Amino acid sequence: MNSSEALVVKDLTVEYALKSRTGRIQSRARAVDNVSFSIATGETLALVGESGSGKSSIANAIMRLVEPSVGSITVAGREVTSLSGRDLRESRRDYQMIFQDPFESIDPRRTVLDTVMESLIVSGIGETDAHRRERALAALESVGLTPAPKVGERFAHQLSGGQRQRVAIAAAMVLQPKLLVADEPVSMLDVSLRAGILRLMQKLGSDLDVACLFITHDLSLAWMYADRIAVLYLGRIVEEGAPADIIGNPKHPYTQALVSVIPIPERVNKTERTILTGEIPDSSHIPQGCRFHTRCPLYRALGEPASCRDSDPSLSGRAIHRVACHHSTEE
Amino acid sequence: MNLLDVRNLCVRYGSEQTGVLAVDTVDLRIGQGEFVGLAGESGCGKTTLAMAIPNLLPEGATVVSGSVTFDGQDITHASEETLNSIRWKEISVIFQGALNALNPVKSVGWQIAEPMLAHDSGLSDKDALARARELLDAVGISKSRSSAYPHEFSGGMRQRVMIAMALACKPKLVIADEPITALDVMTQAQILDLLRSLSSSFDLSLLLISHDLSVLADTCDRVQVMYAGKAVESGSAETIFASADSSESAAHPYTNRLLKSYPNILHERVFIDGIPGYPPDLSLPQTGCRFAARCDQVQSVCRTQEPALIELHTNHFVACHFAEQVSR
Amino acid sequence: MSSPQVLHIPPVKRSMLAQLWNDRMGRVGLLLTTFTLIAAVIGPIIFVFDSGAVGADATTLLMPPTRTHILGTDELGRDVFSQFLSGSRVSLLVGLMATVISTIIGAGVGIAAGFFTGKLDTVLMAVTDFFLVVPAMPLMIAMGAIFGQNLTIIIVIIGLLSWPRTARIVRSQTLSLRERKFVPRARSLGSTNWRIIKVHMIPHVLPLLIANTILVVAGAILSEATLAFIGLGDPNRISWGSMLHFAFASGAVGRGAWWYFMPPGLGILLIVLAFTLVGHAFDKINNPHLGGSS
Repeated sequence: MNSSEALVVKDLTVEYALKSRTGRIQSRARAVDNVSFSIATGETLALVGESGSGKSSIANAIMRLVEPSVGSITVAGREVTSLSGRDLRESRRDYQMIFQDPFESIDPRRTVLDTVMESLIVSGIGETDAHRRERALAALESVGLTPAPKVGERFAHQLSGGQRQRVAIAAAMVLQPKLLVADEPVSMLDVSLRAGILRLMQKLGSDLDVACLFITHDLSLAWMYADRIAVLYLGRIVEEGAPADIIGNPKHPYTQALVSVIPIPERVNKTERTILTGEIPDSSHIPQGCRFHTRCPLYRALGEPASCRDSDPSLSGRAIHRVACHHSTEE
Repeated sequence: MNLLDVRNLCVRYGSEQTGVLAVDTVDLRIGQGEFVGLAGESGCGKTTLAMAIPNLLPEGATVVSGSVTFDGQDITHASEETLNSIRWKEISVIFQGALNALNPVKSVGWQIAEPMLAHDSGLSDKDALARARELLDAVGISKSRSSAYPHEFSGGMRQRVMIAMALACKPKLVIADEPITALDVMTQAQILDLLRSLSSSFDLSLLLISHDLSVLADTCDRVQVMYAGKAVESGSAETIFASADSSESAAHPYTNRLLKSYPNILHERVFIDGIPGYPPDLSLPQTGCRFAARCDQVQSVCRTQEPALIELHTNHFVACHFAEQVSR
Repeated sequence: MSSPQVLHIPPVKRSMLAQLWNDRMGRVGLLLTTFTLIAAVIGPIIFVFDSGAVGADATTLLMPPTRTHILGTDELGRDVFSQFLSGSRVSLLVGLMATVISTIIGAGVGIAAGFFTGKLDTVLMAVTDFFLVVPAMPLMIAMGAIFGQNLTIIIVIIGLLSWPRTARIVRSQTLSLRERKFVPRARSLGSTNWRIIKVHMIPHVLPLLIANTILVVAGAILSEATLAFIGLGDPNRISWGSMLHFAFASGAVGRGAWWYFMPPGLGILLIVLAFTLVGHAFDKINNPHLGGSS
């Protein structure tokens, strides 16, 4: 295994049991279906998908907040899916997460300083409270919450959304993780504040050489922020490549549609949009064959070829730009 | 004549002494069949302004001054009775987050029929339901699903139902507050597409409120940008969203900074700009331009003198001392 | 979007006591509770009740109030006023101690069931529901009759039978807290379950628990009074309930000896009212949306 890989996810499958009222398992929803990817140290990979694409399940599986059904997750060379109890808890400081909603992810009854210090206490960092306090204050400074001693006394409800997300970043980065999982870190924030948060994440990430899994529904944001993009559809990566290739030369019909509906101010009354009909199918009823064929414009344009219904395409192509489609044209 | 003409409207939250002017002397005009977008960050007063039109302001908010003229009739201080005859029938509202507010124990068909029955006593249940089915068809839901319940629908479908409800009494104006915010990218595109297509079939005017300036670009004819309770710029979508090298483009620094807060995949891949700082606390007295503290082109006059909303070009209004010199 | 202020900073929370004082119900309750507590602590020291000081002859039995016996005497010629004061101690003691037991069990069961969910929740809630639907008073009477009439046993019985409501309330609060994202965040930091409960659950549950606890005190005092009234109290300790019991048993009620049965009756009424008022006021302060209903 390459030691420069901060995260290696191999054959990850996450299933949820759908239970009836009596508690009997009725069926299984496969939120993540055999997904593999890796992120190099210091690299940012964006996972792009709509709700139901499995992007949050992947994040939660990596964070060990849900148990993967199959597959392995390796963070900084350590396989974490086999860990449990104390070993698992101790491994957690290597992979930290920024949650989407800063109004929900910070305990409203604790002060900002307590919130950041809690990370250190739980991880057993710092010998005394004074040491931890010092480190926590430095972390608050580093995320631009100054004067740190004063901001540290505040409670979450006394802060704006952007400031809260900075607290969450400080609480994660104070542990100097190897991997940061950022689940829609700016989608709840005002547009004008997004750049500040993203710049901060980028700066702290490059200072500490942290790999980042950036989860978003916003393809244009992924294009701007990430080093590499993986597009998810119904629990599967359908296309993966460099941002310029994904936006400039999307190969999968789903990616093509996503790119076409990106709102662009300068494209007033644009006509070339491909708006898919219907919605992502239920993950307990994944279509046979190519899972996208039920909504695929290419499938219809090609006269509904049987291959799309019969066989499940796998991710293939050059390593830097791979696509899971039987009929996408290779240059 | 404009369908809607709001002039010098001031809306205050709280008392005269301690209250906050959430909307401060704002104009808003919507022509017959026009789609107008109202944009701005949270707390800028866009929802307050919109809700003042049919007088659906929350408790504690009052229209202090100014007027609302709808279809030639001054409804600023209209009686509750008059307003009730206007709401749904003339002006209908799609509230923010309303897609979770559908009644879970009634079929969607009935929920669409209900406002029709409430406003037209001559209408029979059967006719109202038949019309509800037609409306479902118009918003892209199969007629056969009119007996389905809200929980059987996805978020996008429920928003379609909300739109059908808003159209039930054939209103002239629909006010939609963040109608696509909670939806997926592809569903957002579907709903915006639907709104556009309805404009022709229903002879509709639309006030579309969004924090996301970019979604207004290909939906609206005209866009008004608000900041800290003030209208800072309004103009045609072509003007506001024109690239900087066009002869006429967005002229307020706030609008320009906001536009640069979105990644633009047609341009070079650069980090988005954003706007440093936060909007002012409106409970404190304001002097000068409200954007001055966050503006990168601020001059001394900006801090002392409030800029007036001037007509820079025909139908392009800007409130900035340096509107003519601002460059992107 | 409708809030005009972006950085709205609410005023610093006033102390809970000050908020209670500002509420009319809370103020009356606080005054009554404080008065009773002071009376129970200091009263018996000043007016010592001597259970052996029986009347010398028939004229001193069930004597109406006089200057030496301001609330008259009982059927044995003992002073009712000092008896009433020492009785308040037993009533309060049983009420408070039983509540401690009830709260510890209720909070423990509620947090465990709400936090761990799954099978543990199913089992714990089945037990809770059993105790909730079992008619508590008959069960207390039966247990009192079986296990004997001793103050400790009475406290334990009342405590063991009054926790289910607390458990239910705490569980539902814990269940909703569990869904807040700061819980998975704490877990992803590596916090143990115990630490999550200690740091993130208990502080949130506490205000609700306190409000509920105060209401449980009122219920426990009433339970003790009932048990004692029907003769299942501790025969060696005078409580308001047992005063009522003896007042009835001796026929004082029939003879119109109001000075004997009115004080303990009113005492129970007022102290239960006082705790109920404080509890409801506390609840109202914590949940302003409820408008005071519990």
